[in-house]
Amino acid sequence: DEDGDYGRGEPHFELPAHACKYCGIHSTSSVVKCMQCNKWFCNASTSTPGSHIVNHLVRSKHKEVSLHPESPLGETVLECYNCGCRNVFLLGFIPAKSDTVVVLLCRQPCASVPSSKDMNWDLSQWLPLIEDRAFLNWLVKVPSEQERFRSRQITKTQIQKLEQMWTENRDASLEDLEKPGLDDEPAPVLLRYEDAYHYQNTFAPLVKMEADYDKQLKESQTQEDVVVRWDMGLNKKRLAYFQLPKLEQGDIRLAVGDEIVLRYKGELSAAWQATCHVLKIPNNISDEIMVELVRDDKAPTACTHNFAVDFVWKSVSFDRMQQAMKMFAVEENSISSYLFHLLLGHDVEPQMLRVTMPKRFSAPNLPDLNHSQVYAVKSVLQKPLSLIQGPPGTGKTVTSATIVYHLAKMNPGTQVLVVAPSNVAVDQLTEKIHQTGLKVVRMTAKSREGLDSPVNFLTLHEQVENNGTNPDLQRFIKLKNEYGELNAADQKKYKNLKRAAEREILTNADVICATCVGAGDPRLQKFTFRTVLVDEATQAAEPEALIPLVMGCRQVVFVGDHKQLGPVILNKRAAAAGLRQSLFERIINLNVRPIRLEVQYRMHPCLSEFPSNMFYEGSLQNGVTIQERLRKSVSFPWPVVETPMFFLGSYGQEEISSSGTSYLNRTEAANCEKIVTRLMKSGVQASQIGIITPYEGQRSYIVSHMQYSAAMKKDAYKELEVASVDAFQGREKDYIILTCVRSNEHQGIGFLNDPRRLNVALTRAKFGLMILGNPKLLAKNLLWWQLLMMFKGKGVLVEGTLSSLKESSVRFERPRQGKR
Amino acid sequence: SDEVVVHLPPQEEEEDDGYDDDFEKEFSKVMQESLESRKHERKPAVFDVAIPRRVKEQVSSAAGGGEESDAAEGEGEVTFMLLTKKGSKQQAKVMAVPADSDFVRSTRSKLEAEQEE
Ligand SMILES: [Zn+2]
Ligand SMILES: [Zn+2]
Ligand SMILES: [Zn+2]
Repeated sequence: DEDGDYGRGEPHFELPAHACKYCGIHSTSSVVKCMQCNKWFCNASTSTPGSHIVNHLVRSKHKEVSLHPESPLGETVLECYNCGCRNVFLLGFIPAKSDTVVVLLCRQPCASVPSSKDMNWDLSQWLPLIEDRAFLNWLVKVPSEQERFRSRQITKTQIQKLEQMWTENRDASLEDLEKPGLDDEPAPVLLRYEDAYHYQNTFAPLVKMEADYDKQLKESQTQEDVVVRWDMGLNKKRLAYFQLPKLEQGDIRLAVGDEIVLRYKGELSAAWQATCHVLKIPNNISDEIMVELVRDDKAPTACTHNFAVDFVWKSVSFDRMQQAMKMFAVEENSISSYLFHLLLGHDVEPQMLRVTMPKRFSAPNLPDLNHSQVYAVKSVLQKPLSLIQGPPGTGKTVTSATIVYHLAKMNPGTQVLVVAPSNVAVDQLTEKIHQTGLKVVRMTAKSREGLDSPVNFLTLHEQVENNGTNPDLQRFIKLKNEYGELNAADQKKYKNLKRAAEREILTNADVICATCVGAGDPRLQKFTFRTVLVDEATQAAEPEALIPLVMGCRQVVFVGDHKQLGPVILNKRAAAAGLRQSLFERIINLNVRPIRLEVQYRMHPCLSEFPSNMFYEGSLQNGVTIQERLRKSVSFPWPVVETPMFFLGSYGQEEISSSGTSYLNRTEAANCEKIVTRLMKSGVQASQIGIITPYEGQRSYIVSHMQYSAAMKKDAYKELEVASVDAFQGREKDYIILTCVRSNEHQGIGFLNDPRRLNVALTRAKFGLMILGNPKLLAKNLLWWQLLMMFKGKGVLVEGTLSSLKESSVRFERPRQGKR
Repeated sequence: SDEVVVHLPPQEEEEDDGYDDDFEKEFSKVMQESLESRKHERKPAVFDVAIPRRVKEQVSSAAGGGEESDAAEGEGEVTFMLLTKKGSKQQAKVMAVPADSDFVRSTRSKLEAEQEE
């Protein structure tokens, strides 16, 4: 197992055995063990008329208890000193007459024997153990208010059911009680949670549903009849290239670093199979996939045909989400009390951190900040939790890197943890933070170590390799690179040396960067991160965003934009139950106001106008002028010269694509080709043009159309990027063509219905935007109607061919609200 | 400071109003039955165990003769020795009781009365 480290020393975040079976409280001075059923209960009376232990004893008719070995009195069975009776309902303290000595005596008969004056003990002072339906506070401590807040807020009904279940199954737990049946709809996510157990019980089933769905999907997608091309990598590892038509259906997420199994059934050579890591996935240059064989065991490199590919599902990311929720519930030090309550939606009094603010708010080697960026940096530094909303092009990354710089300087000797859900975003931020001169380590999953990235030199594994301080380690690394493997003894020494080197590098870092899931890496387990910045926070599912927060967090900055695309959830039921809502959004709903970056530096002002009005209450200001965003050298037939955008109406039919699961539109594809060719002929580089299409069918049609039917040589289009809206999130191009594809009278507009997707599509271009679509159909949607009216008002709603565009005279009525 | 002020919404009154009444009934029943079951227990000898010298010494050293002392863990606590038996072996364990508890008040007033005699 490549991630073999996973599982090593993995702590268990289960409650200790002595935790109260009702509420989970487990401080040793507050719990006692019921000796009849061996379950522990605490002495708090949360939601019950008696304390939990008394409630249990009464309900189950149990009567004997003992104290915890680590309680102030040590392991003690409560029993009558005289007769040994253990019925706690009968026991009480008797003081000695002349000394501060006490014994436990049973009320009947030992304490009710008439006493005489010259006895050592004062029987008249008998004091029952159970007072006010709870054990005496000084024998079994009543848990503090803080403990009771953090405990599971069990209800009377739950207690009743639980006691009932125990009569049949002594190991039943509250989780069993709340597990939804197979056919039940999952309980939806909430705004506020009673406690961390309630939270965990809500999210755990959703994460499991998503995991099961993902697993089943991956494992059912074996691709037969694969044709393989073999090669050898520079690291002497065997490479294989092939195509996977299944990917086009869009059901499977395949990412660089994923594991697959390549199989040969054994016609021309012996049957064979090997585990491989994906190094390249299909892009606009080729639909080929490149994988690296983990071990080169007699690969049938003479054969090319009749291979099969299995997808390997890994549970790591889902396990880490579940683990994080458990930590959150069970480990009191996993997160500050303030954040704990805030995340659960409890009403907390605002808190400020006592810190010394920097004199200047910019960071070395990063651009100076504008007014709203300075405001953002300034406000987050002393708050335990803040949200920064970064609309498109507003300098989110520079702002984040600046914040991280100050957080690191304000907290010397500790590491700031910087995470984002995607590797691309983590790399970008890592690079920027490195520019400020801070010591940065980029943690990557082991399976991604072979991949090329712009921040290779900052990755933990490269820093270990380049760390010249330990000659033994260097020798092993050299041997390993030369021969591939070490003998068992050397391997063990090498592992130990490597681990020590990793630890040293991590300990000396100012900042550690990883994906949200990567923060759960076992190599970071012993680290505490009091300060965390989560970038792209609106694209992480809530349990994913929790992973970096339960490592001791006291201050967190979330950066994102809830007006752009959210997390990708494959299971529709889990998504509908709310797994697709980010933590960022829920915190907004809890009335935490995000700080918005307001100056955009990307789009020509005419391109930012509609998004600003529709999605950002008109607050978006332009940091670029019209002059800076006009390209005089590019001769392009814009209908209005200083307004480089148009909506080209066309009414060509949509078709179902060859895969049967997607759509394409030939008219729009042909128009895409004409626009691209025109731009390129006037000097625009193909790499600076992006075609956005919501449908995989259209993407693949356009790619092949460019290859075989375009006006220029097919190599010219190589760098042109054709992709989904989702793939363009977080990125920009000089020119964007949006092909809407759908064109029918009766059905909806599908994907384009989502305002957040539209926002992303409209905000990628710096110099010009062309939309191709059927205006009559799109105008049935209110948002699109507004967009079309804006184009019409500016005289850029057009028809015809590129060489003779003319203003369209099409009219549309305002649709009723919410009409699709 | 790290002090967190949390305002939890008032606990919704539970759907099940019968629970508390039911619990009270059950509680008295358990009490009743416990006492009943012991009624016919053989009368034990009068409880008059002597306090071992060792324990007496421990008391005075642990608690400065029963006064509130700095040896006690928290402020306002009185240290008692709890005499227990493990098998036939006597054990004494230190037990801190809040000074303002009824138990301490009444034992103390008795003690004073005792000493005045
Ligand atoms: Zn029990
Ligand atoms: Zn409890
Ligand atoms: Zn007794």
